[in-house]
Amino acid sequence: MRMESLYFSIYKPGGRKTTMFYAKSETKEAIREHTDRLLDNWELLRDCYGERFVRMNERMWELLRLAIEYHDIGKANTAFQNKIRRAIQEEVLETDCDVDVPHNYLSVGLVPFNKLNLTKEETRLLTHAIGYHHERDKRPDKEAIRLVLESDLYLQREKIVKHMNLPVVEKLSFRFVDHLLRRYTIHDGEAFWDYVLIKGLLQRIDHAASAHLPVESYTDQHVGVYVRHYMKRQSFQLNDLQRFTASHTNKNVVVIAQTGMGKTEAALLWIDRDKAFFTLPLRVSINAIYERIRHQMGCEAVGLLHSTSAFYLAERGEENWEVIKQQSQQLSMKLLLTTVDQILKFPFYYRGFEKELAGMANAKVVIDEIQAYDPKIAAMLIKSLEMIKKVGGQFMIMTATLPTLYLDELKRRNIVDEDCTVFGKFIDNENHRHRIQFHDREITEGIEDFIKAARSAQVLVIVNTVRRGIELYEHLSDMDADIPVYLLHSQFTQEDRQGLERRIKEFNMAKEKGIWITTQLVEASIDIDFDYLFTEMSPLDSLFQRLGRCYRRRSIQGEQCNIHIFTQNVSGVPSVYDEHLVRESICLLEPYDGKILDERSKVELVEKLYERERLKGTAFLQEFEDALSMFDHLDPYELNKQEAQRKLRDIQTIPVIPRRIYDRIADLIEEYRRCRNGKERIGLRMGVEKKTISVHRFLAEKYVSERLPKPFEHIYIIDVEYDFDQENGKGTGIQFDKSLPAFY
Amino acid sequence: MKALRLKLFQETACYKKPFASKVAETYPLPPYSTVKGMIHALLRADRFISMRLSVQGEYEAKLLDYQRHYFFKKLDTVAFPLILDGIQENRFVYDTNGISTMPIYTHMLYGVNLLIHVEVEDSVLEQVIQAIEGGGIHYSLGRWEDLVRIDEYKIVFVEELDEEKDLRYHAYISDHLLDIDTRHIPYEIPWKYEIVNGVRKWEKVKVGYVPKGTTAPEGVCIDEDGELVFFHL
Repeated sequence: MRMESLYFSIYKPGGRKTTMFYAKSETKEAIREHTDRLLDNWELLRDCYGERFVRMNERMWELLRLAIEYHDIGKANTAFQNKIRRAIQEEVLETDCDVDVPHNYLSVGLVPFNKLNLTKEETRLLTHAIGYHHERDKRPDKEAIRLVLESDLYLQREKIVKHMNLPVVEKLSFRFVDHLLRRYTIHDGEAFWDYVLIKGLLQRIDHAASAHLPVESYTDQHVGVYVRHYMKRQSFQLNDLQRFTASHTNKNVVVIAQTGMGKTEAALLWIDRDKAFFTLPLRVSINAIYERIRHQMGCEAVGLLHSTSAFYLAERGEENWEVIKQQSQQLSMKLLLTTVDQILKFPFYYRGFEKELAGMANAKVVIDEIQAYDPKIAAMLIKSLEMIKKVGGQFMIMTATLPTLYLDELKRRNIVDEDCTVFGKFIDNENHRHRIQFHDREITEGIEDFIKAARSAQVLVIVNTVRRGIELYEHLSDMDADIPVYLLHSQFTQEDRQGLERRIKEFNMAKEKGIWITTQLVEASIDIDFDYLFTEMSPLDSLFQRLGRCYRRRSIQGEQCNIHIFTQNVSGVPSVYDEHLVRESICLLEPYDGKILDERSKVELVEKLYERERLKGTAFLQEFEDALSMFDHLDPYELNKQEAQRKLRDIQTIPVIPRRIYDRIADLIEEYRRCRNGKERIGLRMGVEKKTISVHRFLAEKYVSERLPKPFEHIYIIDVEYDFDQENGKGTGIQFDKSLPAFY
Repeated sequence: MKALRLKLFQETACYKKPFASKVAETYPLPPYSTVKGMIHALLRADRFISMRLSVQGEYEAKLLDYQRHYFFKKLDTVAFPLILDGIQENRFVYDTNGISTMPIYTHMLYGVNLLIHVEVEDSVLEQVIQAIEGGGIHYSLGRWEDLVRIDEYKIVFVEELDEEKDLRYHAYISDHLLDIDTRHIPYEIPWKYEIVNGVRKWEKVKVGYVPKGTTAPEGVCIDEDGELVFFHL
C-alpha cells in the first residue's frame, strides 16, 4: 500500500536502548519511539503547510514541539507500564503505587516549566495542550496525581530523563492541576484560538502517529491541476463562474450559481493547490463527486467520509478502502468529501472539538447547497465559518439560492467582508425553461390533466408527503387508464428505492411515456429531465428545485405551460413546510401565472422570501435565531463528540424491516454472525441494511414489535404490509394502514 | 507579625449581598465588612479602627428559608415594636404609609466554620481579647439572629509561606495575591464605608473565592500552626 511506504520514508528509528517505557501495547512501541513519530509528523506538517497556518509563528511551532516532546511522558508511571506489560504478556513491575491516573495529567507534572523560558501565557498553553490531549470524563484529581508523581514517577526521574532524553522537573509542583481546572474559553480572547491550534494540532499529530499514518497525505498532488487536465481532455472551456473562482483562489468566495453550471469544477479550481474539505448535504451527491474526481479525473488524493462511506468504498471495489477510511477520519487527505456533521460540528464545543477545528486552519472549506440545510444546521454552519476564519482557514459558499437571512448574518458577524471575500452571481438568463400555471385546486383534481399529458409525454408529479403520493398512485392505478404509472418516495427499502431511482433515470433517457409520482425526494441529486411537472405548492427554494427536474437542459418554445402548480389543500403543511412560508411563496409567485419564469427571477424571489422582515413570526426564523443564540452562549466541553453528533443527525427516523421481508432474510443474519471474513461480513451486513426503510419514529412506534438480534439491534421489525414488485417496479411501498393478519 | 486567630461556628448564617432585595442571597463567606463590624461591636467602637483581615471557612449545606421583611418607605418613620405578641393592651397599628411587609426567600448557610485572622495594633488586640473573655451579651455575625460560638481565640505569629501548600478551607484571596490562571469566583466585597450625603459609600475589595484543595498562590502567609493566611491589604 502506497501510504505505508510513504510513512516509512519519513520515519527515522530512534535506536536508544535503555529501560523500556512502553507507549502502546499493539505495536510495543516505546514512549520515545512514539514521540519521535510525532516529531516527524510535526516536521511534515510544518514543511508542507507552515506558510498556510496564519496563526502559527516560530514561537507557536516551538510550543507545539514542546507539547509533543512531553505529551506522553506521564505514561512512564508503573501502573500504566504494567497495564501494557500484561497486555503483551511481559513480566509486570513491582510497585507500591498502583493508582490509575490518566497519563495526560501526569505528563504536565513532569514538564520543567522554569527551564523552558516561557511567558505566563505560553506556560498556560502548554499546560492545557498536554493536560487535555486526551479528553476524560473524569476531572483531574489532585491527590491521586500527587500520589503517583511523588511516589512513582519522581523516583524514576533518572531513568525517564535517560529514556526520553529530555529534562524533567527538579521540584514537583501541583499548581498545574488548579490551572487545568480553569479551561480555556472564548472569553480568553486571542489566546483561546492559539490554544485551539496547539492542542488540536497535537491531537491530529498524535492520532496520525498512533495509526502509523502521516498527518498530511498526498501533499504534492493538487486537485486544481487534475481538474484542469480533465477539462482540457474533454475540451471544456472555463465558463464565467469557473474563471471567477479560479482567479480568486486566495480569497473567501460566496457564489450564487444555478445548477448545471459546473459548480463542482468551479470549487475544485478555487481549491487549486490547497488542502480542502468539500461538504454537501446529500451522501449520494458526495459519492457521485467522489466517483468523478477519483475515477474520471484520476486524482488519488481524495477521501470520502460520511456515515456509510466505508460501505460505499468497499462496495465500490476500492482496493485500499480501509486506508482511505483512516486517512479520511484523520482529516489527512488532501481533499475530503464529506457531510457537515462529520467535520463542522465544533460550534458545539464538545470535548475534543479542537482537533477538527485545527484541521481547518491550513485548509479551504467548501459548503455547497447551503440553502438545503434546515435553519438550525445553517446556524451551525455560520458559526463554524466564524470559527474557521478565526483559526485562519478559508471558505467558499456555493449555492443555487442564498437566503438573504443567512447572508445578512454572515455580514453582521463580519465573516464575509469587503477585504477578504468576493461575491459572484452566475445566472444563465438567455434560455427560458419554464412557463408556470397556477391551479386553485387540490392536486388530486388534476388527475385528468396528468393522464392527458402522459399520452404523449413524460409527466412528473411531485407531492409534499408520502401519504398523498400513495393516495394519488392508488387512484391512478384504479383508473386503469392504460398509461404506465410509477411511484417513488422514501418509504421503500433502500434496495427498492435505488432500483426505482435507476428506473426513473432509464425511463427518462428512453423517452418512454407515462407518469411518475414522487415526493420532494427527487428535488436534489436525481438527474432527470421531464416534459411536464405537476406539483403541490411548496416554499420557493424547494419549488424551484422541483422545477429543475423539468426542462433541465432545454428551452421552452411556444405558449404552453410546462409547470402546473396546485395551491389548494396542500399536503405537508405545517408538518413538512412552514405555513407562512408557503403562503408568502404563493403571493410572490402569483404575478408570474401564465408567464415565463426566468432564472434571475427565481434567485430574486428566493432572496425576497428569506428576508428577515418577511420571516418575522415564522418557526423558520425562530429556529435559526434560537440555534445561533445557543451556539453563542454554549458552555464549552459539556458534550462529548457522540452526543454532538446525535444532536445533529436526524434522530427522528429509525430503520425498520417489514416482517415479511425479514422472514426471507433471517438466515442472512445467522450467516453474518458465523462469518469471520472481513469482506464477506461487509457484504452480508449490507445485504441486511439494504432491506431497511427509514421511518419516522412516531409513525413506526405503533407497528414495531421487536428488534433484530445483535449486532443489528438498531433495526426494528415492523408488522405492516409492504407492497413492491421488483420485476416491474410497481407498488406503494410500506403500507401503514394495512396491518398484518392476526395469524400471520 | 502577630495576629489574632478566631475559630468561629454558626449554626446558620446569611451574609446578605447588598441590593439582593427580591431574594436574600448570601455570600459564601462573611465579607470583610461583616467581620470588621463584629470586631467593632466587640470593642463597642464608635469610629473606624484600622485592621487587616483574612477570612476562610466552609459550610455543610445551603438552605432556603422564607422570611418576613419590613420595607420602610420614608426616612423619618418613627420607632415601633416589630413583634406585638405579649404586649399588654395591644392598641398599636402599623402606619401602612410608612411601612410595608413582604415575605421573601432567604438563602442561608448551615453549619458554618470560620477561620479568621485579625491583624491590628497590640493595644486593640488586648481589648478584643478582653471583650471576648468578659462580654456580657451574645455575639452574632451577619444577621443578629445568627449567633456565633467562639471556639478558639489565639495570638499567633504569621510569616511568609515558602513552600507549596493547599487550602484547607475555602477562602477569599485578594486580587493582588490571586493567581488568575487558578479557578475562582470573582467577587467585589465591601470593606468599609464613608457617609456621603447621608448614604453609606462603600470601599470595595476585589477578591477571588477560591475552593479548598487549591494550591495557595505565591506570596501568601502562614501562621505558627500551619494555617494559611490571606490578608486583604
